[in-house]
Amino acid sequence: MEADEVLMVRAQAGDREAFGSLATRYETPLFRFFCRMGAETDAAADLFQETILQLYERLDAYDPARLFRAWLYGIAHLVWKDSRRQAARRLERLTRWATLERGLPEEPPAGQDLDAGLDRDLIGVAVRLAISHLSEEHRAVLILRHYQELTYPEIAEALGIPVGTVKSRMHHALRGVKSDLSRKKVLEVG
Amino acid sequence: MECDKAYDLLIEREYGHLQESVQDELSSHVERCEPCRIEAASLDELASTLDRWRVPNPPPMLAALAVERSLNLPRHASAAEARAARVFAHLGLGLVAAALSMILVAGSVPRLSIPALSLGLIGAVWAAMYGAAFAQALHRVLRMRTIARTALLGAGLVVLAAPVLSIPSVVDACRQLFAGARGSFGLNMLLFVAGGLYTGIPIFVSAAVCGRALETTSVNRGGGHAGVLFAILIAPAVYIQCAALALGLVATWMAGSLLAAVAGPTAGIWVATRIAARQA
Ligand SMILES: [Zn+2]
Repeated sequence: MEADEVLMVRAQAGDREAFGSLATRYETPLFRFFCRMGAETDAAADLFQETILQLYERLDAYDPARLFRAWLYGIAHLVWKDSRRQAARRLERLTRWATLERGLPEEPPAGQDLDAGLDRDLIGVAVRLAISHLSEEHRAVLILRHYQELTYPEIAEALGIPVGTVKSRMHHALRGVKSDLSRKKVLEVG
Repeated sequence: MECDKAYDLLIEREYGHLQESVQDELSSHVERCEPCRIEAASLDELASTLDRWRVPNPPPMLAALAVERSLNLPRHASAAEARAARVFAHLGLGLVAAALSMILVAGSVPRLSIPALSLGLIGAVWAAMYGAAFAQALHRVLRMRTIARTALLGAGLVVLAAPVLSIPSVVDACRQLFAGARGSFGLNMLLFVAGGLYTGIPIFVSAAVCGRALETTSVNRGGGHAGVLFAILIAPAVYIQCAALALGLVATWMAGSLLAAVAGPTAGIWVATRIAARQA
């Protein structure tokens, strides 16, 4: 299998097949990354498409000396943050309309549909809830490290923060999830 | 080994990278220490519990669809346009910064001895340099970004200081202390120190402000690069102010100034990273 970076150089030179292979290679990981960050299935598919589109638009900006995976997740993370900002603005507009029409503040819809998905495993649901309670920053680091299996330096490059900060966020996130799961008696030890 | 440290290392073993010697030390501590053994087991359990969260597979043909949508875009036109727009935006910013700097610096010199044409040329060069530094300040690589911001903030401070405390006025003050002894060793030493402080303080302050984002390991390289960039950025301001001064005095001043341009940011970044590390 050719390295991502090699495919990327070929894509830069106009090789459509190479670009296609990269998109296929990261289809499942990126889609799942967005799901884990809190997107529903449809939204995760849209976000994946947006990421590939942005990757294509920024082909020339990629420096082949850098790790492709970190670069790609950096784009994905920006796409995610952008979508959150847009969602927050939409929500604010909706509540303002609702307030105007009824003279009463509307209960804001939850950030994510917690019953969505195919997850029937209760422990899995508990993990999803515990991670969704983390702050956006801590959640991103935990998901990139544990589920997407990026290294600390890769995460640092993707998020544009120092490695030390990545580590401390990871520690913090683990502690938060662990205490949440212990409280719910999901974890037996400790 | 203390238990607190052992806990951090247990996470590092699971998710980071441990040297073999540290790993051995950790294993032997965990073997002897009951609470840490429980901690290690619970960390293992946590990791396997996290894996219980399953998410769905992507819908069929998702990647193929995304690729088709992307390839149908007129990439080269849009990417080139976007790049041109970015270049223009940075040059515009650079132009504004250069014009402001020029007004502040040239206005602060009592006897401006540079012809207007040269001033215009300096302004154009300055605008290009500022523009490039602004572009660098948005770089995706953290170190590059931090270096550019340090240099830009430092240069801004120098330019702002010019009307209050211009180089000729500082040189005059030093000369008055050594009235009569023109070119003496004492005067040269004083000018060396004054030049160093004049350049070193602003860049030290800006490095201490911007440098906390960097790793402690990149202090030396980061400081050196920031210093060079800073020296290039303030060179026009120094030239405009020093054009009317005697060459010997300027040389001494510049020597102190250059030394401080490198030492200042290195010290500033060092302080910033130490404070950041202690807070973490
Ligand atoms: Zn212990």
